[in-house]
Amino acid sequence: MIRQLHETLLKKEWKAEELTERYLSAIRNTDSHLRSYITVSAEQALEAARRTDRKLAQNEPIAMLEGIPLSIKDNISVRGMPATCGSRMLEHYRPVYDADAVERLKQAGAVLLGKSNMDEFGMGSTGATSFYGRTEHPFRYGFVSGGSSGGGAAGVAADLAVCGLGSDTGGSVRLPAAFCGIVGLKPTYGSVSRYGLIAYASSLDQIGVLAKNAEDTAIVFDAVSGYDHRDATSSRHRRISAIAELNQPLRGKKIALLTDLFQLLPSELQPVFSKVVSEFHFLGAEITEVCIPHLSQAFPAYYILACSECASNLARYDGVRYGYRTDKFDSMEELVTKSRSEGFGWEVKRRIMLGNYFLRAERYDTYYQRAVQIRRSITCEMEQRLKEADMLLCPSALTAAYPFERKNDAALVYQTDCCTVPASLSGLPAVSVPCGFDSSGLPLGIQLIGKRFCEHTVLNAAYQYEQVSSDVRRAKTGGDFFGI
Amino acid sequence: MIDKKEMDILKQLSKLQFTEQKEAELMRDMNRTLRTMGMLEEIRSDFPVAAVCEMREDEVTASLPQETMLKNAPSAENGFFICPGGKQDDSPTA
Repeated sequence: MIRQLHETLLKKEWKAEELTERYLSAIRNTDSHLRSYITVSAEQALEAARRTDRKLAQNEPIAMLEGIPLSIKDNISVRGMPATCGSRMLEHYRPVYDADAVERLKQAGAVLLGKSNMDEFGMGSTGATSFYGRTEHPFRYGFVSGGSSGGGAAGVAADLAVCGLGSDTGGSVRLPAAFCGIVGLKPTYGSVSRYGLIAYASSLDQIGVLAKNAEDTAIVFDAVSGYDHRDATSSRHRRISAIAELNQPLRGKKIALLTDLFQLLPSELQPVFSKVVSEFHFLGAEITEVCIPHLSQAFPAYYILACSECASNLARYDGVRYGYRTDKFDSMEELVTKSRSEGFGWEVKRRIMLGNYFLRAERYDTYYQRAVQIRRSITCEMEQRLKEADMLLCPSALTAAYPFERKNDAALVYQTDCCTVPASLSGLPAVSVPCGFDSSGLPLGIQLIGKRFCEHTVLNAAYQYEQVSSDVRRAKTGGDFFGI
Repeated sequence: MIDKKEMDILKQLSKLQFTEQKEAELMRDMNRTLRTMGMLEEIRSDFPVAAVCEMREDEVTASLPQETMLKNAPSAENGFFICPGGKQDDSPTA
């Protein structure tokens, strides 16, 4: 879609300002129901679009992302634009600097439409924990959009942005992408700088991409990835352009199925995923099966680590330096406690309390230490399997989107998160691609996990799969509006 | 399992307070979560710790101006954050 829009701009069939205005108008008309945005920055977006138009008027060359309207998750800093993280705590916070990924997008000439809605501080799989209202599913009212980047995914699916930046801690890009029928990429930990990403669980957080298809995902990933000295975990690993590799044939590529996760699929969904496997086989890939020891422990290990890091990271919100401050207090202790109690929502408080429980000295060994060991074991086992295969394949979730009333069903939460956490724990790149629908017509996603820094491999496989899969919901390209 | 005494310690560590009703609800919720998760297996792992951090030179670079950094403070004056003072120590001095 980005390529086609780029061509319409080059041919001067559309002005960048008209393109942006079209998206802003769609947001004005539909987002009061969907709630995919927390902030819309119409003036800044139109000004960026006009800059592209001035270049085009002078026949200057423009980059692929120049003039392309996209959304930024509300935990990624854009200078001067609110970054609420979906929380009352940061309602009035305006970052004074750009995140590295945002700097790169601005440099590439992209148009930032605004900040997308999210579960509070990234904590949730439903899009329901935002202080600013839950994001609805783009195709079925009353159903979850997935989380925590639910606003970004729903917005892209509903044509309220061409693509978006999200963040993924335990599946927060891949899960909403799967639920909303779009592509979601969690890059390798260290591929995209976390500078300017407001922290939840620093050893797991990674900025990712939400888009209609693999090609758009590759274009955005190529633009935002790269070494950044301001993030100590940013890697200098040499990048291979993802966009350049999309057309590589899959013939002879080895894809290993994670049988532990396929076996957990409910019987009614099994035919959909069996079809996916045959389609990869049809593309010439060699299919094998692998098991990862301790994979059943991945979810509890993830939960312990994420809550522990959350308790530590969110200790910074004290009502003094930035963020919400309570009105009435008599002492420093009261100021901090009341500000935090009034500023944070239920799910955030719950995870902070659990994190401090896990980290207490007397149970540190039985929880945190064991979780670290399980993480290390799963990481090494997955890397070992990836020495014999080019990528691993598993469902993105064991369910499609579900009604909001079921959001507290613990079994359902496990079904939504258990497939995404292994790649989060191991820091490996993973992409969720639409692969069909459940019996009620809601989208499902398949996940490809690659070797470290091999985003180009998983995006290549995703792209090739899109070319043959009959069930992939063809991107409503906005082509209806733009004649492409 | 988490009991009332444990909740008091966790609230203090977390710098959070709850109404009595909400605290009881949270305690039930946390206990349910711990039961669902079960105990983690103890793994005797010989796998080396994955090194993900690359060391860099410790260079002095310009930081953002103080005035800019104070823009988001709930209360600031003359380059300082404003917050209540610590408790007065009433104990007699030596």
